[in-house]
Amino acid sequence: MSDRLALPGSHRIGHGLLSSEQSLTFTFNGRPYRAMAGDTLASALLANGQQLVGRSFKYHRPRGIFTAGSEEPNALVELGTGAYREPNTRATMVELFDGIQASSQNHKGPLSFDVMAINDRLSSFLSAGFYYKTFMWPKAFWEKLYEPVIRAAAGLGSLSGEPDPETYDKGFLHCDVLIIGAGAAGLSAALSAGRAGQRVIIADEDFLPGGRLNMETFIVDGLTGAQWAANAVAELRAMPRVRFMTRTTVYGCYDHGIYGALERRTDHLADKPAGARQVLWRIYSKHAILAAGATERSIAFGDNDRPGIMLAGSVRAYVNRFGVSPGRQTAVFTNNDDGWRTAMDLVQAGASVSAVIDSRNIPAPFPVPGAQIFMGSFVTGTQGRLGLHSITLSSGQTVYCDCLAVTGGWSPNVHLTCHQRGRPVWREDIAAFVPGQDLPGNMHVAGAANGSMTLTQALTSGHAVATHVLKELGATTAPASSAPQADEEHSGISALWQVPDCQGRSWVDLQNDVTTKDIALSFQEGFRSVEHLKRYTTLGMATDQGKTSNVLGLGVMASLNGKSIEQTGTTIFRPPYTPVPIGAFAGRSRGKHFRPTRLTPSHQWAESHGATFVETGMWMRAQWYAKSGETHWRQSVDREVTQTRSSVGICDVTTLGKIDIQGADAGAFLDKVYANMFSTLAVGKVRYGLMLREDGFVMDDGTTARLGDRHFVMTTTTANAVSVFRHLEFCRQCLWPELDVHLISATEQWAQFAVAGPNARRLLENIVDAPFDISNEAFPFMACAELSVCQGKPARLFRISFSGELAYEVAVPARYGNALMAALMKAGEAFGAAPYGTEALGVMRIEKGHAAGNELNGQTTAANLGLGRMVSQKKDCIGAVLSRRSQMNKDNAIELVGFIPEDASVSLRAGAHFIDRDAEATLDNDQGWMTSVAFSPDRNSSIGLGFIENGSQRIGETVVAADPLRNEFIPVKIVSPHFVDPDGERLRG
Amino acid sequence: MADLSLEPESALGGYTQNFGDTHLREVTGLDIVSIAVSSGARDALSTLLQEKIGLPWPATGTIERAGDEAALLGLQADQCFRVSASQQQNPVTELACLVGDAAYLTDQSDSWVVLELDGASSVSALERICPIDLSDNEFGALNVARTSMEHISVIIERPDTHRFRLYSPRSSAHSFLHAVTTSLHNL
Repeated sequence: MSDRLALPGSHRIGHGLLSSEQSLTFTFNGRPYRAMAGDTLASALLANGQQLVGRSFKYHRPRGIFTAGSEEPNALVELGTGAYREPNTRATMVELFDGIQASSQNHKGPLSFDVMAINDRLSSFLSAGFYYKTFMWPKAFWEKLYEPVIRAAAGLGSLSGEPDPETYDKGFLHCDVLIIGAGAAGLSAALSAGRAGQRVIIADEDFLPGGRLNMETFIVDGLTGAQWAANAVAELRAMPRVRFMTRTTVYGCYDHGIYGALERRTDHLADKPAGARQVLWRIYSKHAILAAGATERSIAFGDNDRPGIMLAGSVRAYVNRFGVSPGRQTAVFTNNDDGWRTAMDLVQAGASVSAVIDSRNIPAPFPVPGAQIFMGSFVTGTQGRLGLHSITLSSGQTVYCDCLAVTGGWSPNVHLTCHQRGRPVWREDIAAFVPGQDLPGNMHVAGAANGSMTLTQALTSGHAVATHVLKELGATTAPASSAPQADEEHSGISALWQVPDCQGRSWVDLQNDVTTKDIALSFQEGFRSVEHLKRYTTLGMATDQGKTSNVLGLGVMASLNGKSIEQTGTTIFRPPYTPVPIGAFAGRSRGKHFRPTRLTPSHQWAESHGATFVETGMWMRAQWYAKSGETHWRQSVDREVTQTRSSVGICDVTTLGKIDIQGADAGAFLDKVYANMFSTLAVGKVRYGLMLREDGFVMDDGTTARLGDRHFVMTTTTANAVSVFRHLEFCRQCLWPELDVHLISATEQWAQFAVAGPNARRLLENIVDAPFDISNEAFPFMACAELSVCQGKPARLFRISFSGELAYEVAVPARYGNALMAALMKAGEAFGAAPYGTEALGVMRIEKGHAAGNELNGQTTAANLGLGRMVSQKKDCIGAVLSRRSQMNKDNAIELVGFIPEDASVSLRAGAHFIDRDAEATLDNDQGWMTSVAFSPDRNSSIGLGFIENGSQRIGETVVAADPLRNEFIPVKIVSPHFVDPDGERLRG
Repeated sequence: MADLSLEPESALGGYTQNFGDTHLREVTGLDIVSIAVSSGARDALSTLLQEKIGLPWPATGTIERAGDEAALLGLQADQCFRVSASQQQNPVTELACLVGDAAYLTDQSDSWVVLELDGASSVSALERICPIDLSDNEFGALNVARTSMEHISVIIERPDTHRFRLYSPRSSAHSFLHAVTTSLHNL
């Protein structure tokens, strides 16, 4: 041991597997410490004699480091500062780097004098489920006083409250074999699969692969376990078809061989490189081998939660891997042979062992130099304020020690086998649950995770499972002929869950402050199901998900109800295996990158001409174009409407869905999907179409143009562009595959602009290339053509109108869209052409009485919309039969009509329901609802469209538009839905 | 108004950028035509394509390519894309003359924005957004597939080992470019 390491108070007894070359510094609660490269925060704290690292969740009891892995329940710390602060980080998983800043959490005042420790004195009042029975009165106090106080008193770390500045990403990986865990079994399996040429991903949550091989002193194939692991890792890393992922936790098992994994890429680096801090991988595997090992569990005895009391296997890990002895005098309390290995490893490393206490009445397996041996004995109590000072045995004898290594046996890490409802089964010989038969598809379990608890078994099992998987994969290259060899070890165990007649409370779940008394209380309260026990006591919840406590809690419960553990049952696990930051789940999908943004072809033009944009689905559409001096959006919209109706306006309508439909049977296909007839539509004509769902309700509407005998172009509403295309493809592929028809989206291909208003034709005459004639006679209402514009650019022209004005829609390939908008404006200069946005578009369609999304809400029929006659009686179509149901054709059915307020100065509201004058606003009196409203510059009044019973028969009647939420009750007159040009003279002019 | 003319604009303004050993650029000036087989005309169409443009009908998921000048992308059993380097005003017209009634043609040249990713980090970058297995065995050179990346429908084409072409819808081209550049930055 070098002088550098022999610091005052240092518990460093060697190098373990660490590099002696690099010294690191870090701070804990502001105090500087030294560490070695390869240390975890936990090992470094222990090396510096820092046993006390935190306070417990509920009672604020002093707590220390309990484990050496991801199962850690106690040593949760906050890392970093400011917006980078990360609470609830397990010190055992923090790979130390130079300058890391850590602090303890969940205490008020210094860690060593937490004023909230008063809770421990009040523990009699704070037992499991106390909040279900207390704080019941007065009722209002629960939310305002009791709950905030309880939450403030109990908890874990705190968030920074600022947006996380780190970068996260996600990704997709594929492999033949995913191996979860790079311990003995995982490496053995990976070598077999990798040598056979399979595409392997092997992932391990640790930064040093090898699992327990790095923490034990076993020999494998003549090498130390750690050296064998290092060699295996090097061989695997050199294989081109093997991807070795350290610092990667496979946290979830999903359908079809898909696994979720979190890779921590930069957390361990002092100088963070550019790129993602963590990557959430979705791994697609043909087969998966779960080699996640096992987790050691404790024994419940009096005051078994003091700092210095640790799991025995973890003590071995600190000694063998990190060169740290957690205590100066260590005692071992065990019910199995594994505890004895801890004692021997400590002695061989030069540490002092004061006693070995074994609950079994058997001869001592072997002597431990310097240690007292107590067979058939128990630890019944412990002493010490902020750290362990001594223990009391069942004989009453006191043993002085500052570290107690406890082992109650090992529980296989079956978690991922349960993620698809698999249930573990109990194995009495190892006193543990192992995976059941109902594993997720193509998952195989090897090593300790499957109950193969010794090293030899793990190596053999990894090799055997891999061999089986290779056979399943049909691998032609033979795997290595035999598994790596290791010495056999003793692994006997006699289950012991709790020590009877203890002093103090016996802790089961350290993270949630659950004691054996709490479990007994739960039982007394009548909670027999393990799931109920868990919820009542909170056993097994929070960041560690009960990895060290679940089986122990079950054992205690089983002893209470006099049943076996198998009869008592177990909980199963769900993802994630260990905590995953929310930021990692979000990945790069933050802010405006949460979803794609779609821009119209004229977006650039609109942006440079003062457009205000609105999100419609993913599209950004110009909502209105404010002019200088306009201070309210209504001014802009009213102007755009007025200018369009009086001269001409231009609107980008590219967002409407466009579906190219071609084929010899295209007409027949359209007849089947549309309510009205299309096969008879002449080439060069457009028809309005209504599409029904199977249930007879209206699905969508739009126009479809016939460009050729076998060629149609359908338009859909913007909102339904995708769903209609999907529906048509389903019809084509599944309902009528015999039809010769093909579909392809052309929404993106064509930039399309509505040119509307009395001067629309004159404007377009400046655009359309000669000799094409767009006069009313040559190109009447509902005509369409393929032609060219602006000196030979291919275009399509449709004479259709959404505004009710003389109107056209002109389309060019999208690459010309921005330029065409500018050209249209230039061509319309002489007419004062106005660009208009979605607001003016909406106003004009309401004025004209055209239905849109508000009216086509999935609950309305063709008859409701006044389009009942469009459902052809001459042919069948989707929805035709069910549209004839009696309930959909009632005498008092709702009908779409217009509404104007009696008082023209009043604004109407969409969503108001219609009731008779003087009627109460109740559901019984409800006659319909207002779907769309707008201010009509044409009428200088608010107008609305809506559905009301027998609407078409009630023109001129006055009802009340009731909006009880806003306490508005507006008398409105029922009018025709066609506020503008009801006879359609303008659009045909 | 004789002075009104239209100049074409590419969706990404001809974007080009190096990211270490990998180059990302917008490929402009391509004609893309969807070719759908009319009922019962699969063999006839295949023969016509071989005779007229020198490329056979591509199997689904594969590319028939003649250099960078022309390619047929096999997207599904009854549909492929013809991609050619020369941009015409109406690419459908010329192809229609060649295949007659054997196929239904739709101009898709303006529907898709093509990004080309070329270099050693291409696969690593695509792993972040592309759910398809891009290993050489599964998706080697001259493979093509339709998929979804970052909620955007994308056609991915692999002309050669380190080069990918990504076809994404024109309206969301900026979002998709952001997705690809983010992947390159995040490596």
